[in-house]
Amino acid sequence: MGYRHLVYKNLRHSLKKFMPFFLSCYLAVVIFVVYMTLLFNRSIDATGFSTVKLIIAICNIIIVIFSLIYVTYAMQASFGLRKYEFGILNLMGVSDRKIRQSIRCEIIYIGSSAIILGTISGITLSKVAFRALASALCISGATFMIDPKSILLSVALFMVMFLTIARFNARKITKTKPLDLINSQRTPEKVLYNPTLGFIGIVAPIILILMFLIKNINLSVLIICIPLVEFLFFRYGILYLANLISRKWANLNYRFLYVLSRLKFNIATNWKLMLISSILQTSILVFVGFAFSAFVQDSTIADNRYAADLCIIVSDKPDMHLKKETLDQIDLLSESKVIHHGTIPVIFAVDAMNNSVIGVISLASYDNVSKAPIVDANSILVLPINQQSSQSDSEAIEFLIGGNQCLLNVDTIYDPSFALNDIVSRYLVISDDEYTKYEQLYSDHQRRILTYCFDDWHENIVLTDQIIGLITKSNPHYNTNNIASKWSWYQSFHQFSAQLSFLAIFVGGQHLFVQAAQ
Amino acid sequence: MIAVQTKSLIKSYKTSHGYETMALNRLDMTVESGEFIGIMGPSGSGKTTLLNLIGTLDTSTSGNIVIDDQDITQLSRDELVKFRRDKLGFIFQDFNLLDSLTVQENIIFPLLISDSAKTPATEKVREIATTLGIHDILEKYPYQVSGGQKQRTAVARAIVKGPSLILADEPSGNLDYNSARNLMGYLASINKIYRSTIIMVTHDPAMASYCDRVLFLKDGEIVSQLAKDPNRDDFYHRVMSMIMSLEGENNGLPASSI
Repeated sequence: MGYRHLVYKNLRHSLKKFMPFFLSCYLAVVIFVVYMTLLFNRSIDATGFSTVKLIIAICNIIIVIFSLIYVTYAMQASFGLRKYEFGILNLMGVSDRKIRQSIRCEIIYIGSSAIILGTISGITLSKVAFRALASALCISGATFMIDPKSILLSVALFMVMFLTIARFNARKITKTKPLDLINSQRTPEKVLYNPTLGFIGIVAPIILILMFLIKNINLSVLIICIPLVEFLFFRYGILYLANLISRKWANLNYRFLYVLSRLKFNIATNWKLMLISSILQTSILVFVGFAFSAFVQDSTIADNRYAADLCIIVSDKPDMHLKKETLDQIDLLSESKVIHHGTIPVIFAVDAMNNSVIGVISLASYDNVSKAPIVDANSILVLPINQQSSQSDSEAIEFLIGGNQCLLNVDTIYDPSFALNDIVSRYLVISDDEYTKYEQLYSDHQRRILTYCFDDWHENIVLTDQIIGLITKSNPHYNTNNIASKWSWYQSFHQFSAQLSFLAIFVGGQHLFVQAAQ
Repeated sequence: MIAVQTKSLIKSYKTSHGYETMALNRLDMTVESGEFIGIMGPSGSGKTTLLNLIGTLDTSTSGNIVIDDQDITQLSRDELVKFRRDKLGFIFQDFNLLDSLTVQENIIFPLLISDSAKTPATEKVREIATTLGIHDILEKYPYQVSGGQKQRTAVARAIVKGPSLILADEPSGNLDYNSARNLMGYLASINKIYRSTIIMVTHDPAMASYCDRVLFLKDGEIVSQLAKDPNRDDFYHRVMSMIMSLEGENNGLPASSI
């Protein structure tokens, strides 16, 4: 029997007290590894979904921040329960150095276990997450792979994080008087009540909801706002409400970032209240995620909507569908980075370098699909539609066109007042002469018009400029920058909402586990 | 030989409203080596504060505390830890045992952390345990034994290193009357057998009657003291009378002693 043996035995018997810390570390590692694996997945790179990658990277940063907060709090909670032990050790004459060593050993032991188990679970889960993401983004042919760099980075990051927090905690404990350490269990919890912050905590979520209604909300502002509002609401708002309703003082557990009011009960023993609050927090976060989708996108057409800078709608003979091979033949692919096939016959050429998307749709394909796609394009060029299509022009166009501006020839195609839906904010009716130019090009040969368009696009983005030039001539208020930014946020919102839902589950789940374990 | 001496010892606290409260007010006290001292006084008189200062668990505002010719107010944090380890033994009202260790491990722990003791003296532990009547519960955990046994374990832990000074803060506070009497009997025996100096804070005149000398504190100052009487019952009555005169009849006295 020796000192180390007794310290180790003490640790073994204190495992229950370490559960919040272990679970917190474990969950943080799992989620981080999942996101890191996705971030380093080259298959997603190949699809050109740069926005998705960006959002995953942002989520990773958020996870690190949240993990840091949770792991710190969980460690403080775990060590808070053991301050008494450290006090006794110090009282009996165990030096600060030995106590710090013990703490470091314990952290390394628990942190390593959490990292190993978390990494294994994370790798397993990342495969599921990858499939879900691939399915959501309609990525076909993408293969799951694990980049060792992502694992190494995760392990290194969390080890550094644990050791840094452990060092901070150990210092804090060894700087505390032994008497305060021993009496820590008897010290009553602090009552935190601030009516001003409480009022702000109630008003802030309402303001945030109003912000959701404004579609042009700034994403970076939102990333800061959501945790801040939740913090204010749970730390001060609920307490303020509880006091308003009950007219009684409510106590708080100050150890946690998310603090709840309690009335009459001891929060350390009343974990049910914590559990309910965790579920509430999770629900709110998940709701926030879904709220993005609900407010930003029209759910009825969300699945069938595509975005493009330029959409060219072509009409073939009924038996001719525009195929990938056709575009290959006209050198479209060589100039575009990636071709993405959706479930409906829309072919998008993504020019990642120019951050532009070109959509090419064959009207003749619509007979075979139940729902026509909606294309949100900055510019839409409609080429003559084959009258032999079984679907009426107006019906087809109504489903088809959506965008900020539309370039078309009414005489040749249809009555725009009937066909265009309200998604189109501006459209331009070009003259017969101008249209004839395109018609002529198209009529001569499909290859010629497309080659012409994309050659110009590739060279100097002339096509866009040409079209914009035509439009601005008629409409001086046209502003391409607004359209571009609107589209960008539109895309980001949708993806961010999905990511936020994942993150909500992580944050809420982690919080729930930590508190339930206590 | 002087075991403990305090000179103009002051301990003041600042309240949340910014007022300064004097817990100890220029307190001078001398304890001879091998003495069994009791400290009594009403709540808030500074008894526990004094014990904490002597035990190096808290720091004084000003003044000196000399233990075994060493001024502990001048020691650094590391030196204080070493001082506690080598010179002091503690007995608390709440026992303060480590629940994850057995009774034997709790007793032996102070020996294991000592730099000099590489091999724990299990025989010594057994001997002390037998003296205190806890030899049959050595393999049990604190949560498996009674309050009296826990306190005797704490006493064994306090004396196992043979400290020159044992500090006891309300050691009988959580015990029933019989257990408390037994405990005091053990402390008195330890004081005689090992010649350990004991300073004990208590509210109970019955427990104080085991001491060689009882100091009475009020408002952070020693207002009176009583020396041991050959007859313990007489001493008990003198202590009680003193308490009553200090606090008023029945005030601050435990039910067991009234």
